[in-house]
Amino acid sequence: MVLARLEAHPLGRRYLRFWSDYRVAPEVLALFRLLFFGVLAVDMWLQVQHAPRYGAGDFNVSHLPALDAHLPALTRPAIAFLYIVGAYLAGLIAFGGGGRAALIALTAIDGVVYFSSQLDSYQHHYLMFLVLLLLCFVRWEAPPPVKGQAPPGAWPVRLILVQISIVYLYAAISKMEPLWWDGSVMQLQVSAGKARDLIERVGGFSFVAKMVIATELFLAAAIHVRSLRRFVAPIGILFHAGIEASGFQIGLFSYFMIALYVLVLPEAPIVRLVQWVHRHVPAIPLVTRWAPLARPLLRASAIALGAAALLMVPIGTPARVASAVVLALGAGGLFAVPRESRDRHAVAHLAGCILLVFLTRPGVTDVARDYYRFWGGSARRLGDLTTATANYQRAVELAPDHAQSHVSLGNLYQMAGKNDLALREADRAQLLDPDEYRGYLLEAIIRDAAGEGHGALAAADKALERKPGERQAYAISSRWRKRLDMPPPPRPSERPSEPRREGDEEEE
Amino acid sequence: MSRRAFVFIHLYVALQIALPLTYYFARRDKYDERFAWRMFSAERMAVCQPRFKVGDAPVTLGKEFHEGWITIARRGRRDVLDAMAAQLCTENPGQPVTLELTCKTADKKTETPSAGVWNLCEKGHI
Repeated sequence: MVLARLEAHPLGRRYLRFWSDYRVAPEVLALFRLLFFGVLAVDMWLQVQHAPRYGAGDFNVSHLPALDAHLPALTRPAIAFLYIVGAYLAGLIAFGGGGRAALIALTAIDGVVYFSSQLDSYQHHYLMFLVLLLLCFVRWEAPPPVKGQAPPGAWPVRLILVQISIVYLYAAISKMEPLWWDGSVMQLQVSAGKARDLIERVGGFSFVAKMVIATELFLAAAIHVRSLRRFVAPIGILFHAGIEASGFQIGLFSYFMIALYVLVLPEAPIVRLVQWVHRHVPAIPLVTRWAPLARPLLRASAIALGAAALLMVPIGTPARVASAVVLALGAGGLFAVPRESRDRHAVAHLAGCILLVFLTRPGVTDVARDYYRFWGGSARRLGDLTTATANYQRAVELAPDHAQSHVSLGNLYQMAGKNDLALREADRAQLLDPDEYRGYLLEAIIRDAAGEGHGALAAADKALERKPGERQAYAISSRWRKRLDMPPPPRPSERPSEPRREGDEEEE
Repeated sequence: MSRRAFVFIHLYVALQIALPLTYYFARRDKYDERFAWRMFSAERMAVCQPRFKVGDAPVTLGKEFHEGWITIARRGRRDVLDAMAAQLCTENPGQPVTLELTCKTADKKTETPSAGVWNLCEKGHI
């Protein structure tokens, strides 16, 4: 009824065309899928390190408190498992596998994990959930052309762009207050020295703050104005690259936004680029050339190999369970996708698994190490020293060159009265990072507790050399200097100490 | 465009416009900026100091709650502070739980959303 009335009016028809006539070339969608889901795979893997905070201390507040009493709170192993499976699904989709079923599963996982706890309050994670939800409706492959009929419109993509406009509009509205206008909020937020220098050179914080609001309002509107579209992507990408360079603690938000701007880049060069890639790098070079009988075997091998590779993810039980589930999902996907897409699904599965295993390598990310460190730190603060020690031992095993892990483990040994082991860890930390005070402070604490005056004093003074005024080192040094009739250490300056930033704490 | 798509689009857009508006017109907690797209706002820069007491004894939050929750509590989010109070009430039956919450805003002003007077076990929320 409403549709018919809109169709009858010229303005109504124009409004309906706004939604129904929007088109995106499949090549653009292919590039967007690769970048967006690639970033999502990385983001989901990076979230694994925060899994230990879920359920710690039997405390949780979800984003939907009305449901708190009815739904079970997710705890560390479940969250780690869901993030690993989510990262796999994102990788699978990035490489063109899985089909709509995988996308729906990924959206469900993302939603469950996000809404289950306010521990994840990143607004961009909420935005990514909304974008995933809308992407479930996108037609990724071009339908076969029907003579005399225009191809169907891509209203879900249009809706994503409208969603981005809403985000920019409200982001601009939230900044329309004197504290933002005069640049004082921005001064507090921009931490990178280079970014601060650049802002001062460009015209100062007050000017740049106003420019931020103007840019957000421009992007909110221009993304839908055909004549302005060519300016939108360059300005939007520069804007988010600038935010990234400013040192904000916003995870991968800028990368997500840059990936979203692929949807509004000029189509012609992307279409040419993607077609060139398809011509020169055939999607399934390994499988399509084999005899038909060998193809199911090769697909099965790719599925099994990918799932087996996930056993290399060093996160214990959650990763082992995820590996089994990924095996089932990969095999099930062969039947969920159309027959002609099965080869592609198998290769995408293998590539998704390899991407995840690549991300877990210590040289690439520190997630596995930090998973155990954060678990250990959480257990220590909540008084479970046995669990804390076991986890720091695992962190040290995974990253023997990380000085802070040795310090944290040494602290736990010291608390348990295992001074020899504690001293060994302090020694390792000092060797690994001789300019850092914590290894020396740990040694000072151990020797102080053991009554070894000269040793405690020497270590405390070394800690003070590296961090003048360090409270505990100063106290130990003062005490032993007094007992040994030595002059007191130089008094700490009045300068405010830097913010507390222990390595074994969760970082926001 | 199908009728179902048309309805979905408009329900979705209406929800997405309305939800952030609740921050400005319906929410009691100005530090709870979820779902309002208030990225990098002045409120986000506020630093709060929550001090819970059970009876007369101050609570060491680090021993009761994970650091992640304490970080959110230091942003002054009432949902989380209320839930912390509820947990402390459950763990200490019969004892009053109070919260003194002071927040330093981006313009260096000090606010006291909760003065530590009410027994939150009876009142239920800040």
